[in-house]
Amino acid sequence: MGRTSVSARVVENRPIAPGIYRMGIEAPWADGLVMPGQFCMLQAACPGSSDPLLKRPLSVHDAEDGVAWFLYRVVGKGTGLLARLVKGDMVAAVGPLGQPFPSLAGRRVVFVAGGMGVAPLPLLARRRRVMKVLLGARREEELAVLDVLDLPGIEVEIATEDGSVGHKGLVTDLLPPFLEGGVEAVFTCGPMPMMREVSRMCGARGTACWASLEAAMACGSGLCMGCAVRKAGGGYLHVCSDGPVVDAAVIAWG
Amino acid sequence: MGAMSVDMSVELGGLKLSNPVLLASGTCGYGLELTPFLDLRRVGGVVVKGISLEPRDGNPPPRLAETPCGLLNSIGLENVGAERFLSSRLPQLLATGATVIVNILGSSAEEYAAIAARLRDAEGISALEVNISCPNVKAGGVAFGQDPRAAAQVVEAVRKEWGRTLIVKLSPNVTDVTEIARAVEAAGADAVSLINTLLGMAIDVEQRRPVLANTFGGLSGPAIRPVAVRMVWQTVRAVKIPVIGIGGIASARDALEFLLAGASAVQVGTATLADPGAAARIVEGIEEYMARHSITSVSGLAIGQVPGRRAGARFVWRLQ
Repeated sequence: MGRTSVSARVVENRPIAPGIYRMGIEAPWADGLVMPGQFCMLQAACPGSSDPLLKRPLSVHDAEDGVAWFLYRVVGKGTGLLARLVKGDMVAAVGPLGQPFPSLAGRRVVFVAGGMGVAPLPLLARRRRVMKVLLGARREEELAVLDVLDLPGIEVEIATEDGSVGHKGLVTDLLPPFLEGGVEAVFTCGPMPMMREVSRMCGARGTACWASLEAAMACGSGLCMGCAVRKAGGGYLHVCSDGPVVDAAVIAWG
Repeated sequence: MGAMSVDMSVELGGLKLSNPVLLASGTCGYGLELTPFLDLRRVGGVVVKGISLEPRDGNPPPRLAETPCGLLNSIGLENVGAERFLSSRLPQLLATGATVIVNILGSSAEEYAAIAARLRDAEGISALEVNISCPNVKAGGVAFGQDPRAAAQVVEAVRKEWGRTLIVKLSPNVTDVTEIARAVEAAGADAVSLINTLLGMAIDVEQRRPVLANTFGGLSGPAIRPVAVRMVWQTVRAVKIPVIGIGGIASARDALEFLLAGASAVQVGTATLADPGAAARIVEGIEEYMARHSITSVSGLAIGQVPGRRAGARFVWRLQ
């Protein structure tokens, strides 16, 4: 699978919106091995430090010319230390990890994203055909990431809860015409309530739905079994090794 | 300094290991998950995820909470069960050339014995590590590890079924760990490993509820290392069987603390989660340390008087 544990050089790391950063690191697997939807475990290299102890899972945002890109929000100490890195600094990186979005060559696919759920989109757009992106946000400010998304040939339809841009309401309001129009699969990434609704809508129409899950992780590699998510039929999946992209029908959405 | 050859091999109750660094149960999956990052022959052995007779689903999520220099977990002994372990995991693991130690768990002495009997027929398992110390399940686990008589009963039952090396993993959640260690030694254990995780808890102050769905979890990582070193030091001086040190080992320096305290071997746990190659780095670091201090044998590292044990090895130490 080409996964490695390396110390990698940062080529760029800059804020693109309040609290949101885009970072590129040199990665030997960035040119071909990484697949859309996969993730890496990253940690700012602090030799001898035990706090924070663990790496953070970040979705691969894009990859080309030997550089892997990550789009991330600062949520705590681990991502806070990542945000301070500058060109030339080192990160400890384990990856690429996890199950990608299926290839579904030639099929008509809609991607429903909420907030930071746009993170895997550029690599997906580069490698797979996605006919349309439906993007939800609470208000216009949260759409700042759109400016850096390099999505050649892909239409984006927007919904904001306050109506400041695009449709006023939830992003899931935009989905029914596509389901009725015979879209063959839906990919979704974002907050759990949004993905739960997307999964429900797809299930009701019998449309295949693939969700990219998020969970607290320790290892990202199937070692600790910490990132459990309940399955519809009982038992658990592990987001790091069975996912992060899973068939939405197998999840007990609650 | 010249290229000095150091003897990294150790012996644990009849089991000869190429070096004293093992991968701790619960932090290396079934071993196979680590092969992209680590040559399993570089470590002394792999202690696989705790196996029960039947598969276990484990606890509901959230199962993890990172704390300062530590990790709380309540995985709840999720595992594929003895049959699937034997059919689909063990053969691949043995094919890597790893020395395989299987951690076992049960909810009664009879169940522990039944797993040992089932694993006895499998070729290639070098040792069992009997887990009487998991804090995350009600039946089984730590209930046995907190009572010397119950611990001894489990060990006696397993001993009847298992002729190869038998290690017992001890809980730190007791008043006097040496009491339990002496009880399992008397019951026939070849070695003890300690410590398992310390029972802990974290609360999400914004949500105003426990972080873990199971409320309590086991604390591991560098945060617990001083507690582990102390308990290993005490246990080494209380029993004659070898002691395996576990608890927050993330570097060769950390491993050496345990070896100097008298541990015959160590296990690397949470560090592997953060860095999948940590154990190999620790092996190299111990080798480098020994060469730097002109110590020829890793089994001679213990400091102080450890009655009745390794007199010859300490003699080597004194000569340097």
